[in-house]
Amino acid sequence: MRILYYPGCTVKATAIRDEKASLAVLEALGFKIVEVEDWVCCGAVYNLPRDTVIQAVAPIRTLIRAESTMRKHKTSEILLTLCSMCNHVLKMADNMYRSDPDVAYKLDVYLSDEPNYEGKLKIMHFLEILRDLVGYDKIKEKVRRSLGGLKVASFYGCLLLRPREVAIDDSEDPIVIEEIMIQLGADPVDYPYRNECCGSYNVVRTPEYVWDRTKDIVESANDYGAEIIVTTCPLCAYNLEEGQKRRKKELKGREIPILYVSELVAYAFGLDDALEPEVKVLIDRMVRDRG
Amino acid sequence: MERVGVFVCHCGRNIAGVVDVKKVVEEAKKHPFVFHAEDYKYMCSAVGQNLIQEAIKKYGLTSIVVAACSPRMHLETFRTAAMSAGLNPYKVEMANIREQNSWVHEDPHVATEKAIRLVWSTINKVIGNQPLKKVRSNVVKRCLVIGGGIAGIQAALDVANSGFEVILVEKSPTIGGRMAQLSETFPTLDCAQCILTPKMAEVARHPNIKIYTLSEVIEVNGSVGKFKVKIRKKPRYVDIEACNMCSECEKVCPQVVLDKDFNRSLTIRKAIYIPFPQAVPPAYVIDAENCYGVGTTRCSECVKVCEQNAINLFDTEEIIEVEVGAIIVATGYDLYPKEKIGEYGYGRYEDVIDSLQFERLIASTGPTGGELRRPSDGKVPKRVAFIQCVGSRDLQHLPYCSRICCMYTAKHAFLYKHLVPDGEAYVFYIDIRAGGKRYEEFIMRVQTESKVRYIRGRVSKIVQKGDKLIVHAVDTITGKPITLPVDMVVLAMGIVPNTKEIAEILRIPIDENGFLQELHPKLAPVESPIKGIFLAGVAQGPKDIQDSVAQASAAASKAIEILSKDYIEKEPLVARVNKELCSKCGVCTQLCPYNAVEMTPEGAKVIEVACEGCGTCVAACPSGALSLANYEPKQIFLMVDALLMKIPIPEKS
Amino acid sequence: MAKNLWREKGMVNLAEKIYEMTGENVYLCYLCGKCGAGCPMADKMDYLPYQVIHMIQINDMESLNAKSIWICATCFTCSVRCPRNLDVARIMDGLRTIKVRAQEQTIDLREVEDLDKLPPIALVAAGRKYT
Repeated sequence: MRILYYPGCTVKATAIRDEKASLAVLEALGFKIVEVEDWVCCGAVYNLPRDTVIQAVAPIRTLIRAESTMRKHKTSEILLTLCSMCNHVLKMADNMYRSDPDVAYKLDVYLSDEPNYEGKLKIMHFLEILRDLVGYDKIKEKVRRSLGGLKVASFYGCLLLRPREVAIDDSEDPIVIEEIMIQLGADPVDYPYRNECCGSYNVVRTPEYVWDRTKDIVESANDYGAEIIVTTCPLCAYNLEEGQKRRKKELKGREIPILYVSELVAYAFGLDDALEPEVKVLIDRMVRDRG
Repeated sequence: MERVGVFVCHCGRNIAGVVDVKKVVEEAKKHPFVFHAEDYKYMCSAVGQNLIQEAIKKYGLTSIVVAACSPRMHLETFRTAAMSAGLNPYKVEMANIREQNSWVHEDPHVATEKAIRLVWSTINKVIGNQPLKKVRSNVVKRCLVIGGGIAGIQAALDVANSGFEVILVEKSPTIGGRMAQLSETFPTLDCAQCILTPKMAEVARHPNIKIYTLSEVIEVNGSVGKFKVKIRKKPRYVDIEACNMCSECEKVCPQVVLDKDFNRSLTIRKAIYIPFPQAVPPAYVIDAENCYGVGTTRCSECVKVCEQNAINLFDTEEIIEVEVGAIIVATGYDLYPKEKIGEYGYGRYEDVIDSLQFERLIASTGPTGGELRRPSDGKVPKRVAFIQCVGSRDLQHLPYCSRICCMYTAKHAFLYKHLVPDGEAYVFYIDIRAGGKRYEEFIMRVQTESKVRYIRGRVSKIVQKGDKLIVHAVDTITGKPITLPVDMVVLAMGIVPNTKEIAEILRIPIDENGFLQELHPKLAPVESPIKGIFLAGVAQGPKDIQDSVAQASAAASKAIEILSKDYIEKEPLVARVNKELCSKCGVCTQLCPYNAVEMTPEGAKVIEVACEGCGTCVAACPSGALSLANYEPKQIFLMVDALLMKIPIPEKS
Repeated sequence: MAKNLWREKGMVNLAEKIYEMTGENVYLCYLCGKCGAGCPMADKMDYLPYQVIHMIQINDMESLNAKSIWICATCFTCSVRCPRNLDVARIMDGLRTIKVRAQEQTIDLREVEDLDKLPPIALVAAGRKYT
């Protein structure tokens, strides 16, 4: 199946590992990835006051460019996103465009230099594709090396699960990452912070607040026996990693490596070329140490 | 030949201040059928009524029109006056020239003109009225009470003590309802079972009450005075008369089951069991779903040891048909499931329990014998969080307030401190609603005597950490978030009614939250819109025991009102069927809100005693076969013509 | 001395302004505190979310000076749990937008530390929220 792929700024920069692993996994599962041509920044956050239409220009422009690519390369209407923030913004902007004709008109006027937005796309996050289009059974079939009961704590972060209209799973008790981990032979760890916020963009202005927060998250994961934390949001990944480093002295328990979900899936599928060497070595060691 | 009398009232200055009453009288006299017309200052007074009576006798009037206030005020007055002068009350009509005329118009010309038209219009109606007789129907002197909780028990006793038969239908194996599950009741802290079981025993030995447990009402037809009811009685497999509660059967039963109903999954029981020792009827019951001996010969351990030969594994269901004159619905409530609250764990944490489970844990006849031990490991919890408003007052779950939780949570916290004096109790609340008698004083007592800590703020999340539960809340008064590790959490879950099925069977309305709809929230809180069906207890709306009992007695008195008559009479302004025009399409039977039309092989038939004269069927009938007594189309057209001042002269017949 | 909240003539009605901008009716809030209880940044805030909303309800302009509206991470935990279905995150964003439109920027993107290490989405998000 040919699907559109919207990377977003960060995936091509600090989270390039995520892209490599995710695309390899999806290609192994039979998808043909077509990157959106001339993609632009999606905007990262969705403008909440309903009269700030200008902030919806970026995500709608992205969707328009995606539609153009869809027409040109004859792909299906599925638009893959890897980053939680892109997923959130694109879906919210899409909903707003469809539900409010006033805003839709204004946006059409702002974006008159682009083709019209037709609203034909189906925006799906990497995890949604794995769950809904592939299915857990098929994932299990593709596993070449089991993760040997590795204790994995998932960190969903906030924007994948809230608000409810764009959530990919239940906001209080999400299970999609845990289910995938089970198929890979890992042992998911349930701890209270898995659906909570890491501090997000506060890291720009008041990073200390974020370090305090992520220290609590990592400590909690430690308490419940996690060996690894996986996430899909590049900002969460950065906050969690940096937080541990900056609060090394106060941190109770070990430091926990932070990986992307796609990296564990790629490892389990045996797609070593898609992994950074140090990541592969790390996972190897952890699985081996479990015996 | 009609001889109409018109009486125009001044109503002091209410009418006469705007309307030229003398002119109205003059114009009324011009109507071909009017024989007499006069005016008077206060028609409803004794003098006024006398004028009417004298005129009827003197002029041999056949119909009268009183032009005055609204018929809702005085139609009965004038009908009664006319009746005592020998005139049929349905030949009396009122023209409302006050509320609909003099009170809403200032211009005297306009008002007088309108009054004249209104009077002519009413004259045109009354000459077409037939002299009707009130509809009578016999009353079966038996009452059905659906639901054997405290409300049903009270209603049954009240009706039975007044000398009428009562059939009490309860779907569980014993009566007693929720009150039997409680340990103590607020604000007196009476032991719930101690005050309930005497009433249960009274019901059991009352000669006028027949109890059907393990039973449900499955069909109801007919109308007030004579309802035809079908009851399905599920098999108990144990003979109630023979069983002497020796409990030998229970000892040998091999099938162990979670006690989901009475003890809310806190303990186990056998497949043959009694819900609690004071159950009424006092007999064992077999849980057929979990017993693998019923209907077969696979297992009969209990039969072997029963000295009374009370067990019959081949017992069958019975359908009982009975006729009753009135029905009282008291089906009670259940708790909103904690499995729906995601932020508190979706019901997966063993030590996060609901309020009824807490009652069972502290009840002396409960699964832990009255010692408070938490479900997960049996330890005595040293710190308990009580959370109010769980599921209630929440647009994502139940929008309403469940009314009893503030009081019972205070009671719970108080009792907890008595059972575990060195324990800590925290109550997380938004408001404290203590509106009943001595309720506020009880709250004060709890807050001051027992050192329970009240924190104003809702709990956002509960997580499990080791053997503790961490409560994430906020103290809205100090503005500080609170993270509190506790041993056990008690959720005051909202209450939801059990009315879906019974409402459909009785065809009575339920409101948007599932509670039975009363006829008028202020002035008729125990009557349903269907005559003869009354409501009591939480089925009608969240309330505590004392209000349930009060409402049960109220419903009983309404039922007695019906049962104490040999026949009931009602207004004859009902729908009628012209059988020749009826095509038997059945639209009327589906639309009638009072189930007053039934289809027979000869055509539609109106059950006059149930018909309220709303006119829905009349409007809907495609053949025009239905009409409303004294509201015939001919009359209405003449009324309209008069209002439009076309005033054709009706034929002198 | 108690604050006289309505003494200034011609003062804008903050609740109405928020309603215009966000479509949320702040008067629905009954101050249960669930938003503050679940907020991940609660211990860093000066006023908890429900306190900010209460200040809007009584037209207290102090709400615009609260630090909380800049600390809010827009994680929507409050909105999802509110029993009156108020979108609390949207209201906080509304206050933020009022300040930003009044040209009160709270960060200078040039002075951010670790500019080279931060994921671009953090910078984009911060730029959209704070400037």
